Amino acid sequence: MKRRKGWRAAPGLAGTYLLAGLFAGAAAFPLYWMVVAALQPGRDLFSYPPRLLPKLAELGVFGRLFATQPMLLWLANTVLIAGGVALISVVLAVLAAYALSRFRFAGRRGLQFVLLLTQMLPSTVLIVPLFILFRQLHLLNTRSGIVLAQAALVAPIAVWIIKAFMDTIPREIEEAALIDGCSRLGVLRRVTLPLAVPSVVASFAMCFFEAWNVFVYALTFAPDRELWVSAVGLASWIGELTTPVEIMMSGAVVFTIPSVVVFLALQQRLVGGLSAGAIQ
Amino acid sequence: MPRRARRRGPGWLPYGLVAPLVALIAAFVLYPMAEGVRVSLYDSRDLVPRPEEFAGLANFAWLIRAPETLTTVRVTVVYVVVTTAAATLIGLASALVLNASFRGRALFRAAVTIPWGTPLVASALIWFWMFDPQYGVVNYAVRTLGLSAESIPWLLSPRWALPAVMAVDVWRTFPFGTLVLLTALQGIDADLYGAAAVDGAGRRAVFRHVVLPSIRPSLLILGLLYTIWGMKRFDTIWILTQGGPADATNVLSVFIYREAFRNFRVGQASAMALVGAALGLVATAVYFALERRHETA
Repeated sequence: MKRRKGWRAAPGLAGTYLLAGLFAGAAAFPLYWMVVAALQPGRDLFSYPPRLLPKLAELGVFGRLFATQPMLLWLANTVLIAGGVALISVVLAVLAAYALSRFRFAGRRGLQFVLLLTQMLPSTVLIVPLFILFRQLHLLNTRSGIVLAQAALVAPIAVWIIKAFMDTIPREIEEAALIDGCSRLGVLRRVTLPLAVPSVVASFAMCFFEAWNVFVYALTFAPDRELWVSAVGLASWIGELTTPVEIMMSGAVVFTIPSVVVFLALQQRLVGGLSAGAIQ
Repeated sequence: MPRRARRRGPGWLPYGLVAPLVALIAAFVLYPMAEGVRVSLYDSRDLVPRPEEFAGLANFAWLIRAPETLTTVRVTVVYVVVTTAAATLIGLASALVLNASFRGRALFRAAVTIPWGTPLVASALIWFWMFDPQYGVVNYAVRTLGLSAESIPWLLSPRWALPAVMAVDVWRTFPFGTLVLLTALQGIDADLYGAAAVDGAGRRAVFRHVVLPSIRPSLLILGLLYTIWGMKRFDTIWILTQGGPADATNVLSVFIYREAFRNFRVGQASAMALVGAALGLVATAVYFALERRHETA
């Protein structure tokens, strides 16, 4: 049985492996290096040539990380904020996605333009006026302020993912329920939403890890140390010269793993949501 | 092609459904944009401008004259153009390689996806250590390969800081291109290759006349997304260099933050933020137009 031959970029199997290895290696190396640096006795980090393998005996570094740094507090703040952002985004997005998917209404194009605009603004453009607004609303040094401002930037992504999915759900299913006397909202709740669960889960994960990254809003609007998120905490190690490198890298490992795992699991759907999703 | 609502029209329902989202975006994106216009008209060193500090267009006049502006424009353009081109090309090359069928492909594919899932601040931390002037692995590689006899102080050097932060960005974003283009490549009808083979087309001809036209829409979207992301980037640059040394990495979003929260020139920062907002509006309009063409095509 001969397989139909497609177009190949690289001549020969060996060449393909070599090139694939090169790209994969370049992509994965920094994360490997993070693990190597985390699992290394401090003095060995400052040797030349550098040690190229991690030492499993150094796993105790994670104990020292949690003992000497407020990592647990930072993670808790991050989970609270990311969870809040994801929850608000998904709830608002389900409603808006349903409207965009099922109805043609005046202002629909305008709304889509605004949703797109939220993704196009350079990240510090809103920071000064938001700071002024937060001061007026007493939202400075609160988690809810960060959650609200961040959700406004993240929710549109959830709208696109969920809308793209709802567009594939046949209207006929809803018609039947409507004839049975179900209200429009009832249809959304009992028919469409249960069918759209995969996209709701995917967009929750997407929003959660977008907010997992939250940095500049947290840095600016919640300088209080009690409210630091992981990104702000980790960034504070740079330039202060007292935190050992292996502790810094172990913190990076803890912060990175959940995000990488979820991205690997969801990569296909996320690519669809970001590229094709915006284009409808 | 608006599909007419069946039976009675939807009435107010769609507006009710979108209202909460619109309220959130209005409060935390649109209102601040409008407020930004007002703040840019004041010469204030405090975050809440007072009436007597009204300065008209003085901040914009300053922006046009200040040498920092020119530097920022230049650095931002270089940053956006280089990261977009590099990420697109590397994404395309890696997608072409991974499009071949071979054992263990899924593993390579997963490895290539990793940077994209790495949190920005974590990647900044990792690369900060990798770029360490004395003990960094980048210098180790450069010296072992004989590219330079001296260690290079990457992030501290006005010459190398910009290439270094751009490399971090490309590393982190090219996998998105790989995945998008891989999807596009796999959507190409296998019969097209067969037809091209019958016509006796060589490898290069097949790429130009079959592959490239098929993935052109994806390439276009990708290029646009990279451009926008490049313009937005703040976290990694701020953590790695804070816009320095000597403004070598002072891109637009870093400029705004530094003016407002380090130099306390809130008016000037807001004036530059308006430039950023205008660029965002233009990008949105371009994307929107493309989308419409895509829809009607």
